[in-house]
Amino acid sequence: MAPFAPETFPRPVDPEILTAFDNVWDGLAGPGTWWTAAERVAIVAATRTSVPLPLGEVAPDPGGLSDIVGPDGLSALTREVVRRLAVDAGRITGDWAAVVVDRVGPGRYVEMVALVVQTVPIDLLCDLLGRPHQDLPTPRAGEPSQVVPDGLGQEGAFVPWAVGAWFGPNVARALSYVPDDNARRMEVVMSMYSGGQHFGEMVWHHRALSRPQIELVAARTSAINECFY
Amino acid sequence: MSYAEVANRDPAAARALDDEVIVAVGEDGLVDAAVTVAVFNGLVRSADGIGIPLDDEVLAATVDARATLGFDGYLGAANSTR
Repeated sequence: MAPFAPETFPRPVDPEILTAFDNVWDGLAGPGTWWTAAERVAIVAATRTSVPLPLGEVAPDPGGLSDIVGPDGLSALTREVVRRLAVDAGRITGDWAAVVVDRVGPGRYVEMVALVVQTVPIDLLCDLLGRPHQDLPTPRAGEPSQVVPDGLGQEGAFVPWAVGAWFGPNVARALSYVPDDNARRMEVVMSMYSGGQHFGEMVWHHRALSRPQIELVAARTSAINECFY
Repeated sequence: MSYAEVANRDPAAARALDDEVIVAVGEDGLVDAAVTVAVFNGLVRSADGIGIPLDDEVLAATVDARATLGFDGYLGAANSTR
């Protein structure tokens, strides 16, 4: 049975969404572009256990955190980067990102972002619908490809992304440094939001809520997270 | 909007609103709202983690709205103005 089979949800969920979730889980279990499968699964496990810092506690400087790998397969530096992405992303600054990218490299940083942003929506939907989180997959063997795609450049973001003949919204090229994960992330986004082909339409018929209702929920979500974009 | 508020701040507590939301928009509408909250929690982390600058046409079209709603005060605003 696929991990996100419809009968595992207490309410009906669009099959396209569940297929996208299954693909994320399959991708998570294999080596990525910059992290092994075991590291990828450990990063998602760390995402799940991340909590905000107590009020008044200063976030650690990533420049001073150890990069020695601990028993969970991650370093203190990686754990803090994952924590910031998972529960404190609204306070990420260019200076913070520059330090992290300098220490871990753009590929490993972008892949961490990719893993967090693929799995947070899945876990959150499970929470909201009263479904237990899916067990993490067993990592497969293999080494990261470490292939940097052609056509990347530094153009306004913290990391290089697709440049040149780019005509889409910036959010769609955000993770172009890790194209396989970006494809899975975009499948999740398309299935859960616009259905891809409906993005430019003001009236939606493919969702139970109207487009204005969906945009209001989306806008409130972005505001609560203090996301400018 | 109450559902969106609670679903973001305390997902487990949001389930107490399920029946109310279903009366208003049906079970599929409840799932749609949950799906939207969930996917945008991924999108905001993509934007903030990568430092995505606002697309030029959106930046130009939202000057007044951003100022009125206080969005220019978010830390991530710097990603679109540097």
